[in-house]
Amino acid sequence: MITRPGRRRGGSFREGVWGYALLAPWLIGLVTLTAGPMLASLYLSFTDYAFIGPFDWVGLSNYVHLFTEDQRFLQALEVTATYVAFAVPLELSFALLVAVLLNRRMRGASLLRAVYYLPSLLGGSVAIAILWRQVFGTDGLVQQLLISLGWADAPALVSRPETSLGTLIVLGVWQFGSPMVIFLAALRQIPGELYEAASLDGAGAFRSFVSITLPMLTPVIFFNLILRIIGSFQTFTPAFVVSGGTGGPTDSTLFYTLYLYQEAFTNFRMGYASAMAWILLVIIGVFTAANFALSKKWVVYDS
Amino acid sequence: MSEQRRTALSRRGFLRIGATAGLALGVGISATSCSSGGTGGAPEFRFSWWGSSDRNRVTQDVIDLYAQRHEGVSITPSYGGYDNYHEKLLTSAAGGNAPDLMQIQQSLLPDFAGRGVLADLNTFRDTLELDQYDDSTLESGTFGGVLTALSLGDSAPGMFMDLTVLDDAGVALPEAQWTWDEFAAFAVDLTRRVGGGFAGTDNLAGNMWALEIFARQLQGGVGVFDETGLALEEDTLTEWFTFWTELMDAGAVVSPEVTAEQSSDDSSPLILNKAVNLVNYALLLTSLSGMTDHELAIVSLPNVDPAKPAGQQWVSGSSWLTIYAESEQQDAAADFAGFFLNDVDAGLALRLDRGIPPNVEVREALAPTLDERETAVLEYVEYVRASSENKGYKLASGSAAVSTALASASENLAFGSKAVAEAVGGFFDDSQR
Repeated sequence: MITRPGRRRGGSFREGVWGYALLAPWLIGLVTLTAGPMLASLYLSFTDYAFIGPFDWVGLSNYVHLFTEDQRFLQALEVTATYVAFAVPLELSFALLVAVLLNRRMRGASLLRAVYYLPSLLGGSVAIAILWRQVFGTDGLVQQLLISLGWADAPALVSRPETSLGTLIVLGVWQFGSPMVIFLAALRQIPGELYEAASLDGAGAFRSFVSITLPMLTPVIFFNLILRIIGSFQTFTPAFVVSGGTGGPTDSTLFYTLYLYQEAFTNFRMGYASAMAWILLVIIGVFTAANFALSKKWVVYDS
Repeated sequence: MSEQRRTALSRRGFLRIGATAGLALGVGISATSCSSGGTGGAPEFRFSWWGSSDRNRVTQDVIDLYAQRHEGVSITPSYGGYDNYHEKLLTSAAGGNAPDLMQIQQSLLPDFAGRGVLADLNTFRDTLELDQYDDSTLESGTFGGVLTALSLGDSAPGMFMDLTVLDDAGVALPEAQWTWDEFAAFAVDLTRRVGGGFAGTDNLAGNMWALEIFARQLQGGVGVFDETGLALEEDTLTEWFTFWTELMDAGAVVSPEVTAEQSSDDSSPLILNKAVNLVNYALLLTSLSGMTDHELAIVSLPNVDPAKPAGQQWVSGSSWLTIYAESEQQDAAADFAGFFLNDVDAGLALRLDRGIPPNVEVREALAPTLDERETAVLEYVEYVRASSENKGYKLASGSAAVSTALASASENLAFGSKAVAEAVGGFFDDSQR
């Protein structure tokens, strides 16, 4: 753009002041409540800060210790990565499936939409996590069901190390409501002519889905993917409540943020926990950047 | 970790940065309001505790009683549930604005004391009537030679037994002096008699207190911690885990799933009727009895050496009273603390809510007013006080990581994902860093 110095200066300066004045409430919040503490935590991650008393600059030793000596940290990374790898694709596939089914004109569609959306509203809550423990625990609904189906030694899924993470993945997938609503909105945007043209050419439902629906949805799939990956890396409440804050049994549900919380608030290693927070930020950043880079290969931006 | 080095940026300097960043906004406001008392006006200070609504009520009663007798003193109560209580305390101490008088749990004491958050209570020796206290009680609140905490109420670990189940099975309540071998035989026998998946014992392999008692018995009186940190020896833990592995193999221990699902006493195997016992503070007899129709009794934990009655058990505070080192109202807070702990009327109002009154005079005044269960608790705690070596009980800095490591190692053992040697190795890896 070509600038016109003479005319623009006065107007833009005044506009700028007004702009910033109007932005001020948000800016002050950003700087004092988000950016300030974030920078403080970056500084603390290079110290042995423990809430109270004097603390020292320890350089990179928190970071080095995390990757070289901390078995629980590696376990937390593994648990979280497993969760993200399963919960995100499953949740999005499920959300898309239900969205496509609900997109057809039928009686009661809006009621069904509300019903399917409900778990998303409840999902992150403590109450649901407690319910989960009851349903999948010893003498819970699922165990009783399995026993009545003839499996006499049916395990309490939430309290076995092999299956506990699985129940949390199911809990995550069950909250498919918000991506579903976004998918539904996007489905409504796809022009009907495309489907008409395809059916005139003899395309069946499946062919239409693969050749029209999916490509047209890729921007929204990409959007949901980014959001869910970030959200899943930060999962805390279900693991905290279901395992009673321990990440057990045998650290099988030791999510990254749960371990971070334990280090900060039960072991008082705030500096160490700050280092963990920054590593998580970098991990999420890398995943998001990679997603954007890869998106060029598969996301169709229709013009 | 334990070594304290000098810092480039002082805490105060750092806090100023934090305050400008808005971190300590709320903290700053209340800090100004409570410093006003220091200028010579009527004493005004904050007293914080956690607890049930019953505790809040009786504590408030005692505050009112004190206010009646001391015109002009103003005490601001600050209380809440147990969840997050200590996180909040930690944050306010980090902000330089902890309450003047604080109820604290034992696990926080070493760090708070070691980092200069708590005032030296010997300064208030007379006000607090410290000569009324047992040496072991005082010793449990002493860190680095400085008395920083007083027991708000004594208790002793004990083993709760389900009398109803024992009666039905025709098994007698174990004697006070029993050995770990007798305990194992008891558990195996009871499991067989009751049947139906009921366990002859809870899984105590991950129980810090049971291990503490076992360790003291094996390590000549030294438990899991000493002044400097972890004092547990590998051989002790190996023997402990081996003992429990054998009991598990015999099928006498509650399933690992049930252990994993326990989040509090009301989801404990004893209350869920899945095991006969539970190790916790004897003080909990009344509240545990409220959770079940079954009749409960308290017995001592087993011993290695049957010649020593209560062996290496101890009496210690179930919660602790401390004064904030940076409080400007230490004298006023100490005066109230002295009243709270030593006045007979205060003691009669507080009853056994926080434990057996450590002050002998109060204890004697209270004894005739207790009901049957409270009397059983009092008698048990006094039995342990009289018959054990009673060195009190003290944790060291880093105890939270140790207790997590023990729970994790014992879980691995119970699920069979680690053998004894591996679990012992895992414990020492996780707890010593």
